[in-house]
Amino acid sequence: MALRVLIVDDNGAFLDAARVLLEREGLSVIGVASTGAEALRRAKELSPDVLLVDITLGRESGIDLTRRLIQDGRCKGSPVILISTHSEADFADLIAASHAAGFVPKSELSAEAIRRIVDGRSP
Amino acid sequence: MLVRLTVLISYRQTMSALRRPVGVSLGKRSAGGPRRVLRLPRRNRAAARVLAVVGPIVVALSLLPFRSSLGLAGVLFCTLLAVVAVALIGGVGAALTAVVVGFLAGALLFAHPYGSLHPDSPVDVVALIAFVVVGGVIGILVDDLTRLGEEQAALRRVATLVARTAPAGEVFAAVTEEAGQLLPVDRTSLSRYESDGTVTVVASWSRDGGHIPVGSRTTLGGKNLSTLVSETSRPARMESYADTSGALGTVSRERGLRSGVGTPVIVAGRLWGVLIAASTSERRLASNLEARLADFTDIAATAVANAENRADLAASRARIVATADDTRRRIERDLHDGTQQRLVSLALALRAAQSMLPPELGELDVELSRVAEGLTSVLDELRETARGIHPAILAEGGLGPALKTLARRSPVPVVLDVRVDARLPEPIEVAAYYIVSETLTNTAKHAHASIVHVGVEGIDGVIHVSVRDDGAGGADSARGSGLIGLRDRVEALGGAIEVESPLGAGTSVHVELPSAPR
Repeated sequence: MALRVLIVDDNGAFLDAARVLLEREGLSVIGVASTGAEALRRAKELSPDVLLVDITLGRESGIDLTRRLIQDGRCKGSPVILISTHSEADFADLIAASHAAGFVPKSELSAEAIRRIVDGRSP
Repeated sequence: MLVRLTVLISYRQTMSALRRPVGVSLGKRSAGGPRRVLRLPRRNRAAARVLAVVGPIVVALSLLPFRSSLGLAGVLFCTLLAVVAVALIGGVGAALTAVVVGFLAGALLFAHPYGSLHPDSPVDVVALIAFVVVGGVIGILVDDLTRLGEEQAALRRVATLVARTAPAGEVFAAVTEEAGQLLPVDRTSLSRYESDGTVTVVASWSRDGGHIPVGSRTTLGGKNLSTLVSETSRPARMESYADTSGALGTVSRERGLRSGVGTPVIVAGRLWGVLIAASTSERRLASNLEARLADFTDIAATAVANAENRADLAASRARIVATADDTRRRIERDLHDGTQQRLVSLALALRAAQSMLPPELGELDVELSRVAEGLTSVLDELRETARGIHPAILAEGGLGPALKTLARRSPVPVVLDVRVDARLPEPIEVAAYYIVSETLTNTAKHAHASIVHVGVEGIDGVIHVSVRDDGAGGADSARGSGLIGLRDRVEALGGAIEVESPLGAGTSVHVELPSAPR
């Protein structure tokens, strides 16, 4: 069964491109959100297998959102993967403190990268 | 450390009062330090009177053996020297006393049977009259010259403070003190008019220690000097405070003031404040008090204008730095939200399209992979460019995480000690970040250091940023656009930067920033 993915990003063009790519590569993008509030709502509604969250959501912080998603149980244990055009090295400390399952640079986004993080996280 | 020796010349309380040595300053102070003046004890009035009486007699007696050769005119001429000395010490009143005593001494010494003075001799009469007239004129001239010298010295002392850009409060205190010491008054105060119809005392001085507290604020209105000056922007005089009214009038009467003069402080054509000189005694105020006080208000106005210009300049520098930072932040954000996102989207779309290629189009697949790699490479370069323009981690994570990133990227090992947990105002975070970033860059390029210690901590509302390496030293903070740019940035925020770089002993940069920028 294909992994069910919720993508949280404030850029429409990226959401479209990511949805097409990931679905072509065998994942199921069950929803997208462009704000933190929408992400919290959709996470509760859709119960995705994995959430992709952009580090910079306009004026919101994707890292803060990740913390909330994990802490208040909205994602019900599903892994949250941070994505960004920023360098992972620059945000390493914040990523580690967010309790996200991993980080994927947007330019290297792929179903394989997501599966690797999800599988690596499984017991 | 600047060592300064100031001798304050004696001043005169009234036309008939004695010269009083105000004091000697042996203040050892730095350029920005407070004015420290050690006052000598004042002479008592009787001393000058005694000198005015004894001086001419002593002169006349000492010339007694030469009476026949000098003659009456010679003795009187020598007595004029005593008159000059008395005028210097005691003013015109004492000088006139000396003239009278000298006249009598000369007349007695040369009267029959001791001398040849004869009331019928026109020469002797002319000599005595000339002595009295010349002595009186000399007394008045010496008195005026001395007073002028004292005024100029007092004004020069205050002007020197203004010239070396002493804090406005120090200049204001000097204005009230020097004016009070110089003029025949008991209290002086300098007050600033506020926009809400009140007036605030910014400096005050009192001969008896009962001065008005600095910072006290009172509502204008009624009949009193501050209100009169505020209404007319012209000097005002009140020979009697008996009929003053309003809050200021009440305060003045309660403080025992009986008369006073106020002159406006005009800064760049607008009324800024008022300098008041008041008396607690019944004596009539000097007629030229307004003019003499106005010299001090001119200097006070210059000090205010300078302070305002400096504040405007600092604000302007702060705005320039803030505008530059805003622009850099906006460019970085535009790159991130626009160009980078579009390129990423194109790269993903390309890979999506690539995934649909039939196996027989292998060459096209290779070609598209090459394009995708090129896009990724462009994205990497763009990310580095964006980071150089403005570090996104600073806005996202604050100073601590941003400095950790700098430390990780530094080719020279960094020991980082950040003791500031809470987020700081953005201009402070940006300044601290660039201080560390620029210094680490310089260290990597020039210092040949093996380690760098970076520390950030907040103490009593001041953020201390220090970067210290064990390299070659010899850095010149006056050269190199990086350090100059940092100095501009730090000073625009009201902070201070200190660079120590002795040859062979490493380089240390210490910066202090106010946690709440101006």
